[in-house]
Amino acid sequence: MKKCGLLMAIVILVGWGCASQQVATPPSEATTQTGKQLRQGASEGLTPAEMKAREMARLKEEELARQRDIMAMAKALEEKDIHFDFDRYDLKSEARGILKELANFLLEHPGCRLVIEGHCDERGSEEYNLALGEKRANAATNYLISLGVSPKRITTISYGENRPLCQEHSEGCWWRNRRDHFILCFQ
Amino acid sequence: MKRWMVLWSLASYIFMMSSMPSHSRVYIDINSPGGTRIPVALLYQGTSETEDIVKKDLSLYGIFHLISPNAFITKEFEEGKFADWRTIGAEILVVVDEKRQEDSIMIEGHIFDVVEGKEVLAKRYSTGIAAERLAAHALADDVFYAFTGERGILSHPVALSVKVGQRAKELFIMDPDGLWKEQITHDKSIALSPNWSPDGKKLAYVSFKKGDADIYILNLETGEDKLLVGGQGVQSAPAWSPDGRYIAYSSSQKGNSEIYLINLSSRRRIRLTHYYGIDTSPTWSPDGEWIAFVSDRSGPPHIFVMRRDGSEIRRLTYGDYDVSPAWSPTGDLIAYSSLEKGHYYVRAVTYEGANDVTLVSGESPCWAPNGRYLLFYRGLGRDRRLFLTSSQGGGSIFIKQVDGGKVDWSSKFKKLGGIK
Repeated sequence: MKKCGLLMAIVILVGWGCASQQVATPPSEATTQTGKQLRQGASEGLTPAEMKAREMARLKEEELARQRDIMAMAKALEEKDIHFDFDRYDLKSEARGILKELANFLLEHPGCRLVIEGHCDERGSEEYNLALGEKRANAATNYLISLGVSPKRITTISYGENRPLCQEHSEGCWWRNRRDHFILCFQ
Repeated sequence: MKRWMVLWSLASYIFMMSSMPSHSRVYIDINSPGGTRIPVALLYQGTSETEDIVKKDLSLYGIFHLISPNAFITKEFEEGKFADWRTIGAEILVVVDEKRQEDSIMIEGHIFDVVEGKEVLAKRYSTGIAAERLAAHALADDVFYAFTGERGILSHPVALSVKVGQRAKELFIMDPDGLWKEQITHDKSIALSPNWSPDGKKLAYVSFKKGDADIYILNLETGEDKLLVGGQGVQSAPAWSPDGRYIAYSSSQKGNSEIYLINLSSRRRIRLTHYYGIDTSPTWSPDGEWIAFVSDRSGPPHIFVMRRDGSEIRRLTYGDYDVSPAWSPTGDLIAYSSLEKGHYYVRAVTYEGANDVTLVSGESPCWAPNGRYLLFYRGLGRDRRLFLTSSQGGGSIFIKQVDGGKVDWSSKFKKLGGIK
């Protein structure tokens, strides 16, 4: 689990670190600009070797932009928790919708792994909530498997009531805390 | 860890100079709730800090009423003269003399039955500096024993998990009066569900320090900390068998939480439950023949009981949401938490499923080693408070504000000296 997070951090650092000067530039604009530069290069009378180098740089830039897009998609998916009723671990229809998006992403990106964290609200016993959090993580896992995701790519961890997002003793806060949280990471 | 061990070893210097006879007459019937409190005069010579601990400890028992020193006719005790104490209504007189030396403290206690006009107990409690609280606990426990015939509870430490900072939960050991506590894990992780070994030397507990929930055993004397059950999934809720040879626990190694036993010498694991839902929180009967546990096999969580081989599973409770079973160390009662329309209640039921009654409003009960008292929580988060109540009913006494989890009370108090 920690290793997975670390891997992702490395991917982000390496991926984004290399492209740091370009980060602010939207990918499409970057591409057209490089293309323009290349045409300019021909008219400027560059040698074939220089043109090839420019082409390589353009491809690399495109690849980085593609990676940035994937990371942005992964990040957007990670921000979507699925929620449960009190003492329940059955999936609601919104949850199924989010899990379908996750499954599609995982099927399109075979190099990506998933960690599912199961969480509970503060009510009830710590020990029962550890088991309940696991049931919640397993419910999501089983649904993803039914959508064709290999179980080998999924790791689950239950935190029970020990990692709340909010601390208030109200249904609004309890609802936020009764969740599966997803972490996507690339190998 | 180190500081805690030092204090612990200081505690072990406590010894009793003279152990007097057993209690004279049992004239407090602690089986009758709401009975009048017995008036006690405490004549204390020594530091006010230690005197305050003795006072608080006596009051925690809920059966003593401390007479204000303002009412005392005399501030001296003369051998054989009880009239002045009878006049102010005292039935028990406790005379304490605390002597501080360079590296030790000696507390001499005399307990008198004013009604019968005789000394019941005389003892010297000797401790290291900074461990006088242990002598105070031992004295209060002796007063309780002398007049009830029941073992005292305040010399037995409790273990609990406590929230530290924003994310961590660490294990603490605390005196039952809440006046002293010491942190014993420092992993900055999540530590839960401490459970004392029957010899009082070790704690089994759950920690996330390697990523997910695993079970460890911490030796409190050596500081040695060993993984007992690890691996994929949730390993949780360890409970030492009364003979100390097994630990019952909940494991999801096969994908779903089930109750197992692990033999501590052979490390062989025996699976006890086979159900696709949740099975957790095992707690042993004092004879080691039965295990009560939580299961959601009937829908919401309820308390069940089974034989130690997993046979004869029976449902005991029928609430909306029943968790946290704790088997009384002395009897056939199982205390548990019941959540009903947003309110928590500590309830108790016999292991045959009879006499299911509400004891008090609150949750997460923990039995005192004599089976006469329970610690439990009220409130959540920063407002969470620990209380003590008698299992016979009656009021609850505030112990401490603490954002804590499962509490376990050690059955051992040998470090503080025996009184029997």
